[in-house]
Amino acid sequence: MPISGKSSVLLIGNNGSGKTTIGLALGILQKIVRDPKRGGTNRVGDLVKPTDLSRGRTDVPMRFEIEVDLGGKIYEYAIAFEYPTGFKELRVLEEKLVAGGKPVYTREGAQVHLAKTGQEGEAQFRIDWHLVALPIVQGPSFFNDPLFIFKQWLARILILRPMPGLIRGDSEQETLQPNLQVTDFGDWFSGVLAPFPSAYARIDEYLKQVMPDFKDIRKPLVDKDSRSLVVQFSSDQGSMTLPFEDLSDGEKCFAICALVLAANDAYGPIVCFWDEPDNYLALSEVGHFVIALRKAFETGGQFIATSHNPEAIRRFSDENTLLLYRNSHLEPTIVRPLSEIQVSGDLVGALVRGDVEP
Amino acid sequence: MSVNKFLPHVFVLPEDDANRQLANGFHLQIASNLQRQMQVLPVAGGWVDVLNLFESEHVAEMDRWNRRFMVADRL
Repeated sequence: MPISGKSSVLLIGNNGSGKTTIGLALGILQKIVRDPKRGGTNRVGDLVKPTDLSRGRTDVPMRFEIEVDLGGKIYEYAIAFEYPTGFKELRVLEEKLVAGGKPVYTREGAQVHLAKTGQEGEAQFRIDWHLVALPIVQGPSFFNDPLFIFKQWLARILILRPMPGLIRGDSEQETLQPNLQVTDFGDWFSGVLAPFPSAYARIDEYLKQVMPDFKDIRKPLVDKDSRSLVVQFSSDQGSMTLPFEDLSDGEKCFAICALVLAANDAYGPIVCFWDEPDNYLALSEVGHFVIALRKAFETGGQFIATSHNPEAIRRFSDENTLLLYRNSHLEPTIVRPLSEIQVSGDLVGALVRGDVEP
Repeated sequence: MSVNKFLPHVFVLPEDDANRQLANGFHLQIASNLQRQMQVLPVAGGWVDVLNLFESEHVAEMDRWNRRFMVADRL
């Protein structure tokens, strides 16, 4: 994926070309380091299944690789799974984390090799082939430890495909790790504002732009252990309070967008992968919504969107639009920047005609 | 709310796809609190089409919304 150095990227392509799959792949990597209460697991069988092997080929390893620049240091994490004959689930073939060109740890099968760091010498140990080592390995320090920095970044990637109808606004816990469908919006809202209360200013600013009669969001107790978000609106005609769950689907997406902007300001830079951010929005809102996200990530982090919506597609340029394409389900996806593809006339028109091909 | 039509706002009517991308670049440079006062419209598809669209749609709307400004760009 040629997305390095780009603050925002749009993925376009036909249905089945693999746009959402990129989010799913990121989700698998993220699941390795997430809190088990938020769906995290390092058990290989819970991350990938034999049916995930491309065309059922058991003789070829399944490999995931990610590279990220954090604070000027390049982190590279790679993991490969294999499915030996006679086994019931996949297991780890290789795994490594490299920071700034120096290995933090490498692994082959069960054997993990920890590199020398500072006064700590090299170390080797063995772990279950069916467990990923990343969440288990602990560095010598904490906040400056490359392992901690990378794991925290990976756990905090926002992979979003909101289902507004399922978002109720209940808040029983605090988290910076919202789920894919953002059904834990209330927990995420609390998780951002508890350590970063000033983030509310960003939420307030954005929501007042998109809903001029928005006054505030509150979190009153609904019983002794839980709270639920309510939204207050006011104008010259008076004021009213609505439970968060009663907002429209599009309004809930505005609230999610506000929280994404606030999160990137408060504890970013983060990566946000939003699968079809234009869903549920009025046509007149789509462009503004996308531009707000693109602008917010210009100062840090990375925003990756997928879309079929003309209004969303028009808000990106050829340099930051990638076309995903494949000839059939039997062939791999090809990724090409739009700037390398010949498109005649208006891009949206060419997409409607099906004329955009690598 | 889309663009607040009671405040000064500008619509950009790009002649072609290259102009649309230029306009997007300008749009991203606007301060966040003013961003919604600009909108890049769909590509007209040629300078003659820009003029035709301007005459058939936008002149009347500009009379109706007197705080609207139009930029019809051409390289």
